[in-house]
Amino acid sequence: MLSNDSLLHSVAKPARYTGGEWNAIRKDPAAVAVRFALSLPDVYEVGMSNLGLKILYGVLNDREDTYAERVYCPWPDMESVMRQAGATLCSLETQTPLREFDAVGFSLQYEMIYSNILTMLDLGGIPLERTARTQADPLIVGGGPCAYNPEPLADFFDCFVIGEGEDVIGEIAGTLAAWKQNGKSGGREALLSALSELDGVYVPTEAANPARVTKRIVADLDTSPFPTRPIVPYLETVHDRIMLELFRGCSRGCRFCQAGVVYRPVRERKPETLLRLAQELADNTGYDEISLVSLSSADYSCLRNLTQDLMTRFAPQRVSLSLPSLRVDSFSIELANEIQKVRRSGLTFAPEAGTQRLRDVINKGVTEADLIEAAGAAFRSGWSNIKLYFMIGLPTETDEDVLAIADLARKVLALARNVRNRKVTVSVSTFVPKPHTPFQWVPQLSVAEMERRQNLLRVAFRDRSISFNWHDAQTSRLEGVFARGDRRLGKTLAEAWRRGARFDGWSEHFKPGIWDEAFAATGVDPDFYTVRERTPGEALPWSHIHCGASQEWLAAEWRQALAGALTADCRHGECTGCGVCQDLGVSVIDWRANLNG
Amino acid sequence: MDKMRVALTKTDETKYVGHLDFGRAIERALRRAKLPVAYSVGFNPHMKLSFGPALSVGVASDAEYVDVELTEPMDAVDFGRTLSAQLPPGLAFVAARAVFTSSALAAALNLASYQVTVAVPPTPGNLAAARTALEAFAAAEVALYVRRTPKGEKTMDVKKFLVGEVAMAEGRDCIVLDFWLRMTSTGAVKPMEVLGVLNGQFRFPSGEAAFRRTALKAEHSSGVQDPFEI
Repeated sequence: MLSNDSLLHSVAKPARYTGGEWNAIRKDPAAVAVRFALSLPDVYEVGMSNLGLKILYGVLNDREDTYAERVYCPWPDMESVMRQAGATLCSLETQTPLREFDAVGFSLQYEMIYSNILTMLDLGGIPLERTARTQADPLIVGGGPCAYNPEPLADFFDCFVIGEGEDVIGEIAGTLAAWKQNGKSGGREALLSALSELDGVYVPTEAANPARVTKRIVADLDTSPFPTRPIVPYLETVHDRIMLELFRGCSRGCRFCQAGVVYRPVRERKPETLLRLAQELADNTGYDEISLVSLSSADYSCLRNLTQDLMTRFAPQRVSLSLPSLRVDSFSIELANEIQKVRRSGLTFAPEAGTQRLRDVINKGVTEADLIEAAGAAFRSGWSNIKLYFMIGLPTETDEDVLAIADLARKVLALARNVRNRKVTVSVSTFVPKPHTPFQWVPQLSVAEMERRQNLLRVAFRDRSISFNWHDAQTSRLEGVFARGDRRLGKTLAEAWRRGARFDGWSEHFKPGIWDEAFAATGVDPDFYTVRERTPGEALPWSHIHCGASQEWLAAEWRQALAGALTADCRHGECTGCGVCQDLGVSVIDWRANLNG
Repeated sequence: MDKMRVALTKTDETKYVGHLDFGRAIERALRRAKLPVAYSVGFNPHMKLSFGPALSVGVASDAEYVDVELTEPMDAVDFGRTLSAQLPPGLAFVAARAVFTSSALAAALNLASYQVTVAVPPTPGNLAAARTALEAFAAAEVALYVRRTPKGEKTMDVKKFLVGEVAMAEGRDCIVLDFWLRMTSTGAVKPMEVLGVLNGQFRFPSGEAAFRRTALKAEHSSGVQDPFEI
């Protein structure tokens, strides 16, 4: 331990690197067939907050033949002292160098963590490029939302899991175990070939050039594994509470939202299952807060009954509830009132756009009247701090739409005339078109245009009665490049990393100049991926990845957007024809019908 | 009011867990153990816990103390056994005893002993250099340490906080130092800062060092008390 101490004494928050938390799994590495390292390539506090990884950690460690450990990206201060000392990146559980694992899985949650993957491979003693790896090197697996366009990372990953991982991750572990048992016969090619046979696994080699890889999906969430012994970190993480997943999927149909397409259809857990899971989680963690998570928790069909049952049971245990996302309606305010009887922090609403016309374009079924009613109800019931989320740069947006954001925010503030310590915060991000959405063909704003529109709002909010924050335009540009990028970007990513790109999602570390140099050095034009309009027939880099929704439906939704026509939520209404249920043999699972019936 | 005083250790595994994070870990362990801990009243009720003086990040400890207020009296052995089962691997239960005091632990416990293990081979040369350094340190009127933080610099006289002399022992592949530090209402020095002064100004042989708090005591006009005697 002494040699590690010299590193840890000189870095911020050394507990990021020491593990040993409550519920961390301890196994004898010599007694298992497969050793898996799971990662989200960001700092510990972010990585530890991801629900998907908690599920996979539980699923893999439930297998007797597998030991899954964790590893996160060293903060730049740690990377620097590790490089000076020649230290290798190790797992948290057993301090095993990354290169000694059979597989390293990276959760690809957002594009701005791509450079961190290279930092981790390099510090872990693993060749960056998949073609340089031998059978002594670990299998590098990617998964999560960004795997829906895997091509920009294809140089560095041996395979990608498309869709939900809880079933296929075990199949991958099983394939690895069988390959090792056979003395790794056939080498790495044999392993990759076996993996490419698994449904939902994409192997980006020239040999295994697949026509189409369809996502994996859990048909019945209610019976699927949900870990009730999650690790309880010492350090305060981003989501440092129980995460109770109410349902997966969201079919509200917001046209900018990738999650709303790729996680279809909606599949709810039963209220009684959730109550049981909540009690086990509270008993096993000691947390004092349960967050009801999903893409849109206020849409859970039995939410009122569930929250009442949870409160009845947990109030005496001093466990509180929180709802991370509220709809813009009075039902949500009532719920928030019931749930947060004491902790009157802030409420957040997401109207997304300033005018009704533009909200219709994006299919955000929220009116100004809804917002005024919800915000008014919130102020009347004692909330003083309201946060509003908007986007700029949505398709068809005009200056009038941009300025309407300021008007709407002022109307909300005006409702709080008699509220003490009133505060309205407006957060404006910049729309980045994502694959597998009706907006996958549209041009993204140029950096100059993003900044011009942000400036319109800065001027409009000059009176300072409303606090206004916005996203860095250079960050949105880079996110846009990789979101809809192709395989040529692998060279650019490696070049930018070599020139020092690290933690690009963190403003204190993001250096856009490095990326400009890298684009120039590798002869890649970032505008090709961002400001260019795709033609309807163009082969998209992600067209071989199938999320269930048809291209025809996405195109039809795009035409609906241009017409300003709304598409209803299929959760309780008619099928809107996206094709997921029919194509994947799954269906919407919503328990309200059962309760009423 | 029923209060349980608990002694715990922080091992090498948890020495990098900061004071607030340590506190949160104890709270969660108490919740898992379902012990009858008292809560404050008001809008944001919290457990009524009182912790001993903060330990520097990077220092292991044989002597961490927490006072836990209970809603009903409990047998100390039962309490210890129940809590022990819910502690993470790097925190260990040592002892518990019901106490009847209202004084805050952090203020009462004002003496701490530390052991510093310096990874320097105990060769005759190194031992002689170490002895010379400690003699010069003992003879010095002041020994100033400049603490640099993001907020600025602060100069402290390490000797003002030292109680008695620094004791030295020869270990296997290392030299071991033992000393007592006093914590005052105006501040305290860290064991790293003592070693920093010894290395920097008195040429004590340098090597990788491991730090451990070995005891906490309460010193007042009438004498020195063990935490369980207060």
